[in-house]
Amino acid sequence: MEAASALTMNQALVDSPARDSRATDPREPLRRAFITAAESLYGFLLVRCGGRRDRADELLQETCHQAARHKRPPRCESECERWLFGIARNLIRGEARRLRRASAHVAIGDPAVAARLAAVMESQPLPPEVLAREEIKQQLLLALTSLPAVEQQLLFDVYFEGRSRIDIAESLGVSVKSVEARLYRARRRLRDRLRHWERE
Amino acid sequence: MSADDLLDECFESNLRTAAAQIDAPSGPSSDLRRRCMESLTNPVAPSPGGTVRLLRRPALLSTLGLAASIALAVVLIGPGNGGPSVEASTILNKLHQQMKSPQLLEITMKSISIEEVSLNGHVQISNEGIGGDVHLLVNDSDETVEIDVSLGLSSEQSWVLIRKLNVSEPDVQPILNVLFPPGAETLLILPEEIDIGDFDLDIGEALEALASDELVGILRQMIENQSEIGATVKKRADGKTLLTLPIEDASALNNLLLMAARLGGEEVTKEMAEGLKSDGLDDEDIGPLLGSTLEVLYDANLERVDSFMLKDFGAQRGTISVRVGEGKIDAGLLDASRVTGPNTRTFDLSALAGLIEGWSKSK
Repeated sequence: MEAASALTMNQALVDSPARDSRATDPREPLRRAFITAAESLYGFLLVRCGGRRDRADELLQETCHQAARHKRPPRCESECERWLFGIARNLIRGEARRLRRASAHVAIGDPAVAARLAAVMESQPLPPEVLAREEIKQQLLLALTSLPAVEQQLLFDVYFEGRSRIDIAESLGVSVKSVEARLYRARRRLRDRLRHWERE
Repeated sequence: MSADDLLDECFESNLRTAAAQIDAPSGPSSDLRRRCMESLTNPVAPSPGGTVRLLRRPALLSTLGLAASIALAVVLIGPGNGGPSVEASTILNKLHQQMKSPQLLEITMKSISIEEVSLNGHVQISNEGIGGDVHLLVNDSDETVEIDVSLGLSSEQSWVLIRKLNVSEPDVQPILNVLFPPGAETLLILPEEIDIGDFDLDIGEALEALASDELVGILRQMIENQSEIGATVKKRADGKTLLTLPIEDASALNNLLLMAARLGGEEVTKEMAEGLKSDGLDDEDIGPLLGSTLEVLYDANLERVDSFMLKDFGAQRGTISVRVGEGKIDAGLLDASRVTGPNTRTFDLSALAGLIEGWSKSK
């Protein structure tokens, strides 16, 4: 994830001159939700498209297109984010059907594998070679990319990008203790997600 | 340290090890972000391309699939108002079988009007192809698109007869006027190498959606919750059973969403159910469906659904009826001679391409 560039881009979009005139636009919460969640939403689509950027690009645009066409989007930003993920999830279902018909690969979560993975990851230190297995990496990525954008970003920042808690605390303007608490909640949600995988 | 803390500690250690071996997904390009933001800022009005997509992607069929699921569930509700006793599981199985491999769908649309799109037409769809007549009008504040065509698409021969093709786009209409002069009928014979595979795929997807086990699951749940659906059942003089479901408000559809979520494996909490009551579909959302009536005609002797119909639908109180048939598509529908006359202009695609090339050179 290109966290820094994403932040710059998000800020540029937030600070656009048209921002004030949009204050009363019912789609404003939707746009702000997209700015927050664009990275996560794209990751969600990309992982499920088996890494095919062309399809993920198309599906992200279609997600926004469908959301924009709705006359009464949710009023609250967090609901908008859930809504965007819901649209993306439906598009992925269609994509999965299409790919199955073409006998092509599609990444779909397996509730049984995910639950087993959660159980063993919580109970014993696993050797790297086990965690390097494709099906395990895929289940983890599927679960990670299905989390709310903020938690997803935090987990990617810490565990994938290696950013320190202090660095994150400074950029978020919160204490390190608060970052720890958020991380704990994000991990717990990831564990829950694996344990109770929603069929896609 | 609590038991959960211990689990979390172990999980974190493994997560760290796993993350070191996984490439995190990259983000969208700046150009893609910009395009997405543009579409969220200026929702695109239906364009000629969008219109074509409306025809190509059978959204209408998907809508009908939902309508069908509601209607067909009513079939399974059983006796009502002194109607005939129908064995729900038998019908369900028969219906599932019927929808699993429908041989022929016949769709008739009269005065359908949803937002800026108006639609009239009659088409038959089968594995052999698609044939019929469609009149589509998209009347948006920014532009107008009107298409009046007959078509026959099959592996034998594919053609489209264009009676009217008007697009208010100033750059496009002059070209269309050259290609399809107003008042004249133009028959386009599509060459054999034209691949209509995408079209087949979309139809297949729609039929697959109609036939899904999830849908049957929804039907089963609806049977169990029949008191929430105000349906009536009558036996007609010809022995067939007519089921009528007035769609008076959005609550039944909200219940459907919950059922679908449960069947989709989601854990539906009390909080979610309550949330759906306040934030789910309301009458405005189901706008075109509000006040409409769904009818299903069931033939108990043949143990099959003859047809289902959505009446008083949309702004013009239109009707969509779908016959789930057997056998083949009417041969006449695929035959271009049914719509052509002595004054019909005929082009094949290569001639059309030549005409466009000539026109662009003259500019």
